[in-house]
Amino acid sequence: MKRVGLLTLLLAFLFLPSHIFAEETDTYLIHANEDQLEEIKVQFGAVTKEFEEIPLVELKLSESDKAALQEQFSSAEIYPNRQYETAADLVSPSFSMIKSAPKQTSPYSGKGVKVAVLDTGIDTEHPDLKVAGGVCTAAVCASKVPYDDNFGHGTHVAGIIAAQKNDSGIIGIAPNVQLYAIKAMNNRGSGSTAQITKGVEWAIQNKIDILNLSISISVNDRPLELMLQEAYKQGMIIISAAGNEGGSGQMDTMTYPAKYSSVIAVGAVNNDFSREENSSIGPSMEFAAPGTEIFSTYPKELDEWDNKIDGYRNLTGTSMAAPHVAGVFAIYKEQYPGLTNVKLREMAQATAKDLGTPGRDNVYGFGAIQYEKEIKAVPFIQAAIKKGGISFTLKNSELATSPSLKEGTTELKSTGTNKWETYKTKGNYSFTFSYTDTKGVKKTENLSISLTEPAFKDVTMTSWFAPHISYLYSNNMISGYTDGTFKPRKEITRAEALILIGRAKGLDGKARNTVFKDVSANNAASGYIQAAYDKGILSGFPDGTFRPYQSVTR
Amino acid sequence: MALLIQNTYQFKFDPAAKMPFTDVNESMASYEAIQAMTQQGITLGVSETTFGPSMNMNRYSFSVFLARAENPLLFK
Repeated sequence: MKRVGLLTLLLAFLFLPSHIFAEETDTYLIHANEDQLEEIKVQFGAVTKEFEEIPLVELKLSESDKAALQEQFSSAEIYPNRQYETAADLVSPSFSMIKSAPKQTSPYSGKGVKVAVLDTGIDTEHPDLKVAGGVCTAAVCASKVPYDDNFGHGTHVAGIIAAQKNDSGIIGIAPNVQLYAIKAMNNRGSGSTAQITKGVEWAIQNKIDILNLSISISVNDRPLELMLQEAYKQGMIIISAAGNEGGSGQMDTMTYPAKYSSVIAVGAVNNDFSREENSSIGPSMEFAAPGTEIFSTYPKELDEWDNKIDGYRNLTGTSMAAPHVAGVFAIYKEQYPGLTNVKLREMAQATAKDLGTPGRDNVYGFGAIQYEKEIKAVPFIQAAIKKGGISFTLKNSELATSPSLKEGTTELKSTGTNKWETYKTKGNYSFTFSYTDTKGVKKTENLSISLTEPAFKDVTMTSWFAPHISYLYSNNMISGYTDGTFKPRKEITRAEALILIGRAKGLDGKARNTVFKDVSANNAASGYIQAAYDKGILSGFPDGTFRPYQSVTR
Repeated sequence: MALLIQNTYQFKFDPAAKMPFTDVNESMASYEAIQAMTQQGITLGVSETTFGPSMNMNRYSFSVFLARAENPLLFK
């Protein structure tokens, strides 16, 4: 936890588990001459593998069999069957507490989600971190890369969210996010209102999806609150540490910015879900997350705490709890394209593991955050993007009556019960999902989806036929020209038309000679033309030609 | 186009229905295909009374017809 102007890092010295690279099993490899091997196979059986190039067999042996074999065949060589594994990324045990270990979140990894850590910067040279960019708004910046971390706190926070999957060190909850460093705190871990507010503004301007604020301010700072409100309004998911101020009973020891309604406040729990003793309490508490002795990345040059200068260390506090929640939201953000920060927050609240007093309370909020692959408690729209196509499915439809999905005032085409589909070109699109919930309350929720393709220079949504072209493009039937155009008004040749038909029907397009004297294997469409001919789709002209370059007539 | 799409997709159509176009007659190889195209809603001709069977097509209109043939639910 970092306080403005005052540093309180809780340290813990733990021995780290060492990787196991080799392990013996009860199968053995026996090397002996051919005659001996035959005799061994007869006597000891249980051959699990035989080799041909050298006299070698794999046998399953008990300890006593092994001793007996060695005694009887003294020249036979017995070797253990070692199990080799690559050095793996260490998964923090805290991830399992919130169902966010890689096994539980797979196939999601935060891909395409922009996460910023507003802190002391992020170590740009740490082998386990990939920093996509950043800014320094602090009074004192780092010398080479301005947002480099010369304090350590931000690097530790960043590793929990996004340490790389690279078979070494650790792995973060969402290793494939685009990670940004907003260095608003200086090398002593302090920053000013203007510096922090400027950092939040940078996050807005750079369209950051998730902002982690493991910072703590004791006073209500109105300019910062206003900027955070704006960020939230624009769709940002903002997460902050609740504070490490302790407290008991009905006290409110939470700090800002965690107390703001635009911010998701996170308290820290120990490995047994009990409150980390210094974790602040108060009515704004939203989630609990692991925050005790969390092992994460640290700048190597500052890593002098645990007698292992390896770039990793343990830290404790709500600063470490907040990035656990940020990581979970990054997974959700990838899994549920289009859902707003408000909706994702509601879904996370509904799936939290209730702790302490039933329901929301001052110590654990809604409870420990949990990544749930299939959220059951809330009706929501699952959008899936396939190039220029967006399909929508209403999930948990039993919780929503009269569902409707509109773009502006137009209902989207339904492709089945509680399913919709639309095709667009590159751009940002907004949809409105409305329904009546189980209490009879009418709800309206926005979805915003960005498409990056198709991006033909000469086909945009102002053309009435753009959805049709996007449909063919999204289903890999048409790709346009290499110069980025589609040339919609150019006449279509018979060869081009056959390529389209062939792809639509999944015909064999491998270029080959055809029955037509004017279409050889050199023609890119030859495979589709011959396949269509074989299927009786076309017959060509009476003179035995196909005339591939002639325009198609209606 | 009409013949190619009809050969590919084999849409059901009513061969006895009245042909609305004056520039299409039964001697043409594409006569039935044009019936299928219009009844299926893939194209309605270039005017109320003409289909324009010998008119050349451009890339977008062929794309539109193919999308309608492939996914009538979305594009008709």
